[in-house]
Amino acid sequence: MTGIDPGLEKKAEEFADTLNERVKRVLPDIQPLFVAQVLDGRKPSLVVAPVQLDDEDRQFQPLVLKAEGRQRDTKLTLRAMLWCCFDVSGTHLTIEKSEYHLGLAGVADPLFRYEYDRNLRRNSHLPAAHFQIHAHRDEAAWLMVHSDEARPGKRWRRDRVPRLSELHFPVGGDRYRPCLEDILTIAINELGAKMKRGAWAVLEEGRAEWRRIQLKSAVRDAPLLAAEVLSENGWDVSRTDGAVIQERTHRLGEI
Amino acid sequence: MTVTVEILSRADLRKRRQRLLERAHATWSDLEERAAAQALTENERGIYDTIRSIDWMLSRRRDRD
Repeated sequence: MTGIDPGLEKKAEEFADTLNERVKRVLPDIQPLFVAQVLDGRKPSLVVAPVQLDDEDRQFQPLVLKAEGRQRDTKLTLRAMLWCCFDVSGTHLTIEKSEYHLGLAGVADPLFRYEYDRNLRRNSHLPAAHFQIHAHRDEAAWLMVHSDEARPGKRWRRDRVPRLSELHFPVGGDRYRPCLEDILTIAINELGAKMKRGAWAVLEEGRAEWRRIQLKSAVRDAPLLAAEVLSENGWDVSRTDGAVIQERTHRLGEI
Repeated sequence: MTVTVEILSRADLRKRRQRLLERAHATWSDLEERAAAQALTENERGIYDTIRSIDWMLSRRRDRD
């Protein structure tokens, strides 16, 4: 056992509790629960995912969403994993990777997945935040291997049948990517998963909270732009000596 | 109140990884191959994802044991 900073432990716990509280307010009879597993150290890391609490190996389990059918009920599964670290100051939790896979229970291959990996674009031109659909269409398979350029060329040389699920559709980059509430909304609205009374309000609340956090990060990326917009809207914005003026506007252009 | 956070050491994670592979009756490379071929069962998928996470945590913490 390591001696973790109690502040970090509390943040990890709050993060998992927030996810559990939100999911419980949206979906009926939800099991399993999100647990944060923390590896302490100079740069602590943690993974948050649903597990059965009586499983000592903490094998990840999908959230099971029930849907009432015309003839029989069915179940959807949502695999959710968030891989986090703390920022340089050790005060803010940062999501480094996340995966949400939605599928039909009993079938391991998901229908679609939303993923984020902020390091993905380092070695490729793939979007950090992306959407992948598990389906097939002949024309897409052809286009995915028809050229010697870029990814079609790589796929062709790999000598394997291309899958539509290998296409990474960009979904807003680091700041404007979808959140868990968006995926739950699709499951409920498009696929008929049962929800609790008042779920829409909870989803809106969660989405607003997520976007507030992302907006703060976007402002930190472009403080001068933020000040300019406030000034244009009648605010008196002045810079103090300690103000951070270093812009990270390159982030706005990143895929 | 349900405990939703657990603090682990590298040794805990390594043991857990080993037990998960035993549970899958497979080696890590078997699981990786089956994942690439989209041929994992639901249970194997859970084990595969858990081990990926363990490996991610372990790889980030090479500077401390």
